[in-house]
Amino acid sequence: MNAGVILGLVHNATLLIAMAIIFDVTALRWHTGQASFRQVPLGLILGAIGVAIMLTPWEFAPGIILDTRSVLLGISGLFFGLVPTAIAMAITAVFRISQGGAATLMGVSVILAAGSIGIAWRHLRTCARASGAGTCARASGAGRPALDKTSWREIYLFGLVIHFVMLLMAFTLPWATALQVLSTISLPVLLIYPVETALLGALLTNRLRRERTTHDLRESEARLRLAVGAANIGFFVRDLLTDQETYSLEWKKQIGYKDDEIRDAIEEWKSRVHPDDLAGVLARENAYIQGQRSDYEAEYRLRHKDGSYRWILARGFLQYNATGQAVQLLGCHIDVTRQKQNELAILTSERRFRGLAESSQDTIMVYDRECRHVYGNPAGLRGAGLSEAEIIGKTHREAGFSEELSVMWETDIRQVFAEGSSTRRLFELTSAEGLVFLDWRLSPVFDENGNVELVLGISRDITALKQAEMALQKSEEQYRVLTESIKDVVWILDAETLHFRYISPSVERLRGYTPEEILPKSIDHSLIEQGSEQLIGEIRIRVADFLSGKAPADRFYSEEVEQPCKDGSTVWTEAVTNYYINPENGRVEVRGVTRDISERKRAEDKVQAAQIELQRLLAAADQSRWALLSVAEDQKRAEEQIRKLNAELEERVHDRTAQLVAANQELEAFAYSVSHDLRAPLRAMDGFSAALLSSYSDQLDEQGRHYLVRIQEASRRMGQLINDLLSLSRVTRTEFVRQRVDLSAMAAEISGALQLQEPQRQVKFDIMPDLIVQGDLHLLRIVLENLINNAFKFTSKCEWATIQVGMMNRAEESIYFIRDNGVGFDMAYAGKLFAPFQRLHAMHEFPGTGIGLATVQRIIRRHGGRIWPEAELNQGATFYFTLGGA
Amino acid sequence: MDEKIILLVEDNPDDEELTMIALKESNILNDVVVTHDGAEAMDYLSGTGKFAGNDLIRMPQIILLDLNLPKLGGLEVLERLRANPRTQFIPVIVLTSSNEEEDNLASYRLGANSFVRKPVEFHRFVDAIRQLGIYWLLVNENPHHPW
Repeated sequence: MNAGVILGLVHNATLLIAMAIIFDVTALRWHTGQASFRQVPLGLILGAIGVAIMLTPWEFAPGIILDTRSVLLGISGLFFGLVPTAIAMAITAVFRISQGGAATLMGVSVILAAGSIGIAWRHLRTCARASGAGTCARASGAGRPALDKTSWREIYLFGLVIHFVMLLMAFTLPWATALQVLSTISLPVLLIYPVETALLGALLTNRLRRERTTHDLRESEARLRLAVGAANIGFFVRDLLTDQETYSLEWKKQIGYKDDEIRDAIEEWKSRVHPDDLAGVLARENAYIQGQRSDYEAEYRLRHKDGSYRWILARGFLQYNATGQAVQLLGCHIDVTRQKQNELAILTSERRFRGLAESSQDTIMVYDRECRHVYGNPAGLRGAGLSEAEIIGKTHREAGFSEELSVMWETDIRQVFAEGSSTRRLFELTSAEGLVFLDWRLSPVFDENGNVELVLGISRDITALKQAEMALQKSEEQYRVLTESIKDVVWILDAETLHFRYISPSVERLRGYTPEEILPKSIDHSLIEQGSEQLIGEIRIRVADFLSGKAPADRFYSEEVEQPCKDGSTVWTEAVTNYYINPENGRVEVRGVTRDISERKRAEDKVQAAQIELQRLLAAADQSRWALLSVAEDQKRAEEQIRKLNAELEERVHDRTAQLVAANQELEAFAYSVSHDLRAPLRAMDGFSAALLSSYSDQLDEQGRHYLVRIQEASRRMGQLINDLLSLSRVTRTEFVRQRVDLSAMAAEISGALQLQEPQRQVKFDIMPDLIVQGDLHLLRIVLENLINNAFKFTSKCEWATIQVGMMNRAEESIYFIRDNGVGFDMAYAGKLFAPFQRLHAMHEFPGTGIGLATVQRIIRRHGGRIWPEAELNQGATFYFTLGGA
Repeated sequence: MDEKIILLVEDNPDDEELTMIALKESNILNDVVVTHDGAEAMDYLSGTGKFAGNDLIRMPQIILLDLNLPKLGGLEVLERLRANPRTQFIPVIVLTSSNEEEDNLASYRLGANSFVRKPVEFHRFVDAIRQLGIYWLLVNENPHHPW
């Protein structure tokens, strides 16, 4: 009986598998995750197979039909999903109901159960796969069961589950029938059906796997084709036995041919290789084929259809047959013409720039981040007197340059590295050839990321330029000093705009206007109304004469001009002018020298007036010839008058001079008596007070002694006042001798004396060395003594007193200064500083007579200079002074 | 010649007295002869005029000479002293209120041995006198007179 059961089951199962194979071979190509409308026919086919299986059943008892529909539906649920399986389930269920019989309910139940378990299993698999990533609900939609990786064990287990459930369905039959059925079919069903399920599942899994492999292969092939096309790689295959070669489309395209335009033959290739390269390439190829080289790679030129040569990089490898004989050379061609051209271009450019650097007369150096020399051109090496080995890879310091220079250079190089922008420095250097001026420019060299990779330094010897510049400066300076020190006014006028381009400062003495007031205005401003038009017309004519060559370039014109002054008066001047072309702008300019001739003019006027008077007299005499007085007598009288007048004038001048001399002598005498006689009573006051204090102290009370001390103090103060007044008057009385004065040494001496005087004070003196000036030694000493003493005095309340003596150059003028960090003063009172006896501090704060700065100012003025203060209350004070033309 | 005397030529009675005080305070106890103008000083040194009768003229060890003197000025006195072989070697200390460079230069040119400006402050004056006394009276040795 059992054998019958098993036979029936096997029979049915075989039918199922046969159907499945037919389905696999003939059915539509199916893929996982296909669109749902394509799942409907699949469901219908599955339903049809189910019906076919059910038509060849094994009938256990009337109405109890056993077949492998459970296997079919379970597998369908697992592999094809919900839609096809549901359709197949519906078809088979309807068919089973139409068959009827006692086990209809069981049959339908088995159909539903098997299909559902399949669907559920599929669903659970998806969940299990996606469990790491998200919820099951979400994963079921998007995820794939990946059934191609299902093991046969799993499917066998799946079969066991389905058929165990199927056996349970037997209980839908009447109890007795159920027991009977179960006892008969349990073993065969549980033995055969799971195996069958596993077989069918394995078949489908295998099928899926193949499907996926094909798919993957197709994709990778497409990708490869894309890559080959994109990279423009040509392939060739050489049959080593027949020497027959074939070329790919790309291979031909690389040299400009279509597929059918070129033969697939090794001769074709050989004829296209550049004659210079052919031997080398063949040697390489042979060496590889003979096994002398481990790889084949060659770079050579291949002739293009247009006659040009393309650079080709060829690589190949051998293929062997089963006996180990090399049968094929497989290779590819890459067009590297562009890279090759770039390479050549870089080489050419590198050669070109190197040539540029090597032949440059400028020093060219390249530095790396550690300030080491990466490159130095021959001019640079020559300049430094070093060989390449002595400098390349070394810093300045290591190459033996002085510490000072090294620090300066490295600071600049580091700055360029840090900021990425160029910098420039002018400096001087003592070389074997003497003092050399260099103009050093540093610029960054960027790498492809925009970072500074190197710094390029080019220095140019500008000594000649500098020397010329200095010579020019000197000559300009001399010229300027000359023009500004003479009394005559020197000027340059633009003949077109009639504006002055330059006018010397002496114009202020002549007319009261400063050059700054005159320069913005036209020449009209410098002429009085009558005659200005005529003069301007004259200038125009002269310009025309000059331009046409009618007047030679060295012609000088001279004329007397009346000019207005700032105070409303006029002054007679004589102007000597000359016309020339300014080489800078090509315009005609007038240069002229104007001299004050008012004195001469006045004398002339006087003579003229006298002449007129004389003429009048002559005329009168003429008219009264008949009169008693002769003409001669009249003239004589007129002359007598003039003579008398002149004599009177002379006498007055003489008198005045004598008065002045007398006044001066008086002043001398006064000063002498001040110094000598006024001091004596003071000494007596102080001396007798002292005597009283020392000898009669015990007879005086505290108050009395206090008064005596006050008398002493007052007399001492007056003594100081007298001293200061004397030195003030001496400033103007003594002879002025201009000589070379070393202000630095003088200041050092004065400060030394001060420190000796008050050794308890901590004062830092900062004196600039080599302050050499031209001036009067004694007077300048008074200046420095006063200013440094003041600084010393007004810093007495400072803990860290600093007194600085220095010089700066501004607008071609040397400005000397004495600066302290003392109490300073309010600039509102600055005007009072230089008046005698004016003081800005109370006597008990800082003692003094208030004459020192008046003296200083007088001395500075005698030198032709200026002095001015700059201060702030409690922020120190600075006194600046200049020494005129010194 | 056993006592070193000082000749003070000073017309201002205040200064004369102060000088005396200063000498005293400096413990200089030598005899001091005071003459009040240049002429009187010359009389003393040459034993004429007021000092005509004085046989035993003692030559001073030092002369303290003011410049601003009536009749014969200090510089003239100095010039005459130096012209006379009897007095040419006597140390002359010019002691004056003047601070004029001219006076200073003229004094040295005429052969003064020192030029001291009388300070207004008495204590400094005393100091100056003390130092002069110590140097010229104690330290310095005058040329040895031929007689």
